[in-house]
Amino acid sequence: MEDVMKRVVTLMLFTFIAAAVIVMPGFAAPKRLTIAVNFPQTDATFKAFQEIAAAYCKANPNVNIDIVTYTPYEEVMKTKMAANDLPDAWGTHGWSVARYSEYLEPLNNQPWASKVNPTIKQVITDKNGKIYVLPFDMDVAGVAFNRTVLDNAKVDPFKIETWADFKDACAKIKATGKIPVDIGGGATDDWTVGNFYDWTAPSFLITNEKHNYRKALKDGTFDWQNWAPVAKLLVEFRDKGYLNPDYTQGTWVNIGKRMAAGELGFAFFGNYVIGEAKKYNPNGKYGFIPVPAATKDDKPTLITGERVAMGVWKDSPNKAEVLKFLNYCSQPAVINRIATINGNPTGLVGADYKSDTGDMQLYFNNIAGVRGFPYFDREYLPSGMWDSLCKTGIGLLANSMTVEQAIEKMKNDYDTLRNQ
Amino acid sequence: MHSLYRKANIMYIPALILFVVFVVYPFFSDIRIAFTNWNGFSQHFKYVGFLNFKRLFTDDNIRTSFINTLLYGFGSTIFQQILGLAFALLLNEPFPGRTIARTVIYLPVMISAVIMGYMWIYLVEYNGALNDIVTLFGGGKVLWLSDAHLAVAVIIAINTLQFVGISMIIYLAGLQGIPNMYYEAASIEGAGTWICFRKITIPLLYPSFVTSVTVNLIGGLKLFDIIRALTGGGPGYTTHSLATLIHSSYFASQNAGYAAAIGVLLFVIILFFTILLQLVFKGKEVQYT
Repeated sequence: MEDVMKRVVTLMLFTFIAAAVIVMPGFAAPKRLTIAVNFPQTDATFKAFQEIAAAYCKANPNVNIDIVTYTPYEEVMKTKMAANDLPDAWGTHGWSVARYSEYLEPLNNQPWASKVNPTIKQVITDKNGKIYVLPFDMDVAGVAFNRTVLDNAKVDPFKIETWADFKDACAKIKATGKIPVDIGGGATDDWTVGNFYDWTAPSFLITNEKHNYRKALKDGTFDWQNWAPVAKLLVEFRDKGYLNPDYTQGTWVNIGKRMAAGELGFAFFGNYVIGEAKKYNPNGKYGFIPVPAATKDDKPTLITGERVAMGVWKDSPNKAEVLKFLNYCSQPAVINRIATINGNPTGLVGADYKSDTGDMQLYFNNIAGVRGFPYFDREYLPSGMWDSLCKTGIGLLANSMTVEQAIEKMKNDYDTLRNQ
Repeated sequence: MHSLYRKANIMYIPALILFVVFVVYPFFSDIRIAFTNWNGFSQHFKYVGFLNFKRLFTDDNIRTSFINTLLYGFGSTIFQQILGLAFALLLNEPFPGRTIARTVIYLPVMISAVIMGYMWIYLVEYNGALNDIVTLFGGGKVLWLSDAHLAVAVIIAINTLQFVGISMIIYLAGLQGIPNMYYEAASIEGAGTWICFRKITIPLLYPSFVTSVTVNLIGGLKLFDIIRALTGGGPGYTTHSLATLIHSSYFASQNAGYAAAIGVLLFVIILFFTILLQLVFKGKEVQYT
């Protein structure tokens, strides 16, 4: 009998302790949040997020945050979306509306929502007026260059207004023995060619207020024969010897190295290419200008879009905690830090929001008042056509595709993806 | 006895579960997806009937990828048989360093094909080692992966070199299984080396040949990793195999329904060639008594 009593008391004690551990808040295990960030190529951003998360967790011991990235980021994210098993929050790299909005929590009611930079607001707002991300910074991009190379070739970047001016500049750079435009172009880095199209297509199809195809591209009536000037510009650059000699085997890494070494003039990327060059030569002179216009009756423009932006999974079991973290991130110290690392303007505006663009300030001053347009593929093409841009571009460069075949491929993919 | 059968049935249940989960279910799931317009990540999609299958017949990239798939499959297999047999014959003879030579030839098999692809990028890139050799002999630098035909040839060559070790090992095992008495008897009858090779070695290596061809052909038809690492299917779409086109259509073009239809096509092609090989090789083994 005594034994039975002993066992009953032990069991009750055990049950009580177990219940106490579960119920008492002091004993509760901290909630673990997973936040995925892309742009692993800019290590500084990733490290900054880790430090920001660590500081937040220190102040909020009930939360643990794992900052992770996936390789390849987009493919893993697509798989996770298909399985409806996503991280609590993630970087949307320009696709918060077109690709990720089905899985993201609308954030219009967050305290920082009214402070979103007006330049980027339309890009991250869907047709119902919903915003799904906190933009830390924003892409304001033009054509990047090595200033020393341009100076040696007697090219004044601020006088380049049209593609004709740009080609004259390329001829001068070529005459000095340097590479006028490094397009990358390798099959494994073919996104560099897609970028070229993203930069150049708006000048032919979008930016001219008197004559453009904005509506036609969006309602599906676009005549793809109008793609010919865009495709031909790439072919012309190749035929005139304005591209890097390894234009079908070039790599992103080499672009940064060549820019740093003063071997190339222009590169069609955001200012992150300058960050890449600074890794190898921090003392180099770099800059950027708006993208030239196609004709004299238009003006140079800028490419704008999301850069570092983060949304919250609408089905996250930790939604409340991750929203708190996002609100923490919306404070000026955090926003300014991330924007400064990327050399970009801040994604939120207000008295205390300001990034330090360092020696790029001269070029940021130069773009005051210049019109900005969203990334061409994100705004005017159905999701999934990025690959078509890259592959047809490489096909043209390698002569494995004619301009007509490239147009046909673009049209077919456009029609197919629009009907999905 | 009955109980023994029951025990045996229970033993293969784990393997059956794995087979159903990782092969049977995905296979039927693939067929189902092939009839949809799913983009690969949304929870919403529509059934579109045979639309994706119809597109297979009009898409130029399918034609290119189909031809490439056959080139990768048969091209690699042919070269692997020739080289594998040559290595096996050489390394079947005793000489100092034979074991090291066998290891060196087999070693690439153990390297991941993706890593192999990335290693070769450094050799065939514009400023790579291969162009250094070309310029050493006075030639101009070559864009090895820029021309579609050249790029396909480079991929076949790399795949051949990586997996020639498998053929070598299979043939080596086959050679070591041929009793020496046949060669001795033939020699007494006055047969030379060539006659011995033709009349004894080749016929008795037939089972090894069947194994090696089947393994290499299926591997070649499914070739993915090297292409993905080396060219990504480019320039354009010119070096895609059906396997890489599935990946590209699914993830990059966001057309999972179409990718699934290509998957069905690839399954039919591999099934066709596997059955064909079985029929061609059936009953052709030779045994001397």
